[in-house]
Amino acid sequence: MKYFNSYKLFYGKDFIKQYFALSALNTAALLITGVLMLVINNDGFTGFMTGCIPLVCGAFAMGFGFGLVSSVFNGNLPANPGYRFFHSVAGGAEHFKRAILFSNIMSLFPIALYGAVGGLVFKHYIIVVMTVTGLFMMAITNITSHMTSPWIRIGSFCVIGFAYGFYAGVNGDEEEGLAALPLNATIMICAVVLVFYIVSLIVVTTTAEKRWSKEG
Amino acid sequence: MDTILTSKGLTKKYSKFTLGGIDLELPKGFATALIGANGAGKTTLIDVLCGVIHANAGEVTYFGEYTDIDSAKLRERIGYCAAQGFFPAGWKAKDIAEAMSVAYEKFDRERFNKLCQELEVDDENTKKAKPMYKQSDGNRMRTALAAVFARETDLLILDEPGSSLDPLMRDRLCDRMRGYLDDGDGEKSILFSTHNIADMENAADYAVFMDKGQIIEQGFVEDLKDKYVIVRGDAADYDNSKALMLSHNVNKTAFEGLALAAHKNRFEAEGAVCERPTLQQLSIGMLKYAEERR
Repeated sequence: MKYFNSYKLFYGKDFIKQYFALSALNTAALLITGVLMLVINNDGFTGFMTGCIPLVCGAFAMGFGFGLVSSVFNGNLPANPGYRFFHSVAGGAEHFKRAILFSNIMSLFPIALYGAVGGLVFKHYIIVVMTVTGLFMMAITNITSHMTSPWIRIGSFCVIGFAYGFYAGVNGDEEEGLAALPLNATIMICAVVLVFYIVSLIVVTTTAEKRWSKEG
Repeated sequence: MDTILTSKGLTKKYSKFTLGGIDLELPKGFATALIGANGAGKTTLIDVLCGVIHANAGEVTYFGEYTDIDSAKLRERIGYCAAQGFFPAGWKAKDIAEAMSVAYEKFDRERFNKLCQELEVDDENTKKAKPMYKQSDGNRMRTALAAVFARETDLLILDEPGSSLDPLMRDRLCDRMRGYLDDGDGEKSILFSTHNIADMENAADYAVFMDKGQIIEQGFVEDLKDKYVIVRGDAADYDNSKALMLSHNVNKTAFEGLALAAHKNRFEAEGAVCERPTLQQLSIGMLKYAEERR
């Protein structure tokens, strides 16, 4: 409850209903897409659904996760409205630390749900990679305290996509298309990013009070 | 004098500006106006007193017992409102109420909603309420004031509360501040900053004048009005009077300025007229005097 309240201090809204509703909507959209793809036997439709819907849902899941975490870090930026309010509250540093942890954990849920549905149900490992990319960007946000710039986001996708292709090429995979994306590469990328994310969580929670006290 | 807050040698250093050392005594049960031009250090002083930033040196004692602004009990007793952008830009009244309820034990949501209605801004129950960034500066300030007045506090510290309000709302704010002090029966106090005292003169019992990070004068308003006079005379007599004047405003036909009341007889002997100053005139005179001495 303490962690929930600390997060409410920075986010303001009673976001729980919104949070679960959007996560469920996102996952339902993905499931419906999968079902439709099985039922409708049309290459154009299949291609569209395969490419467009996972990207949209993935961006949405990551964006929502980002929004939760960014609200906390934004409260500690002197140039942002709200800075004086947060810094005039008693126990601000403790609230900040709890809110960072809480928002990170809440962000994982839609991302993980999306990744699990896409990866396990549809065997589209690119969806898993996209969710992992979201995790990578959250790790950078944790370490830098800033909302990741668009260039870093695009760069993250490019780097991870490149790593994926490189690994596939090195292992001599000749098949093309999303279905050919190897499981091994997916697991390896997921593991590396997960470790990086855990490190970022440790860094951000141990430095939270120092960041809070540092004046802009 | 019973004091609600005292500071000794309070200092805050920036690369191009230094506040202090500030030696300040705020009387208990009164409203203190912190008056100074833009850049005088009013907001910096208020930020230090409210714990938004920390001083480099000096100490502050609150309510005669607390010296650590990071104490939760102390912060619960202080109601603070910043000049601009107090709440996040995307927040609506409901978000403010949620966050304030988490931040402060003695925040009254019902009172907040009632104050919002009185101040004619969105409350928690307003349908299609606007976020802060879509509201005018005046409405943002009214919402912030509603939030701070909805708390049970013993000391209000308001940074330029009147600057974005229209004259009618400023008058209402003065009434509300008076009501806050009256309800406290001598136990509650207010510190508010302003660079334009004219519209809030009725709210101030005690005044602190600042210039370039220093306090140049402080005292009860009535005592200061007795201590100083506004001198007016013909331009031809200016040379005889100027040595004793603290601030000067002279043109081809007349002169006017601030001086110590102790010299009143000499001014009148020279044909000048001496009047008791308003707080506005006192402010202008003080700040001009400080400016000329730099």
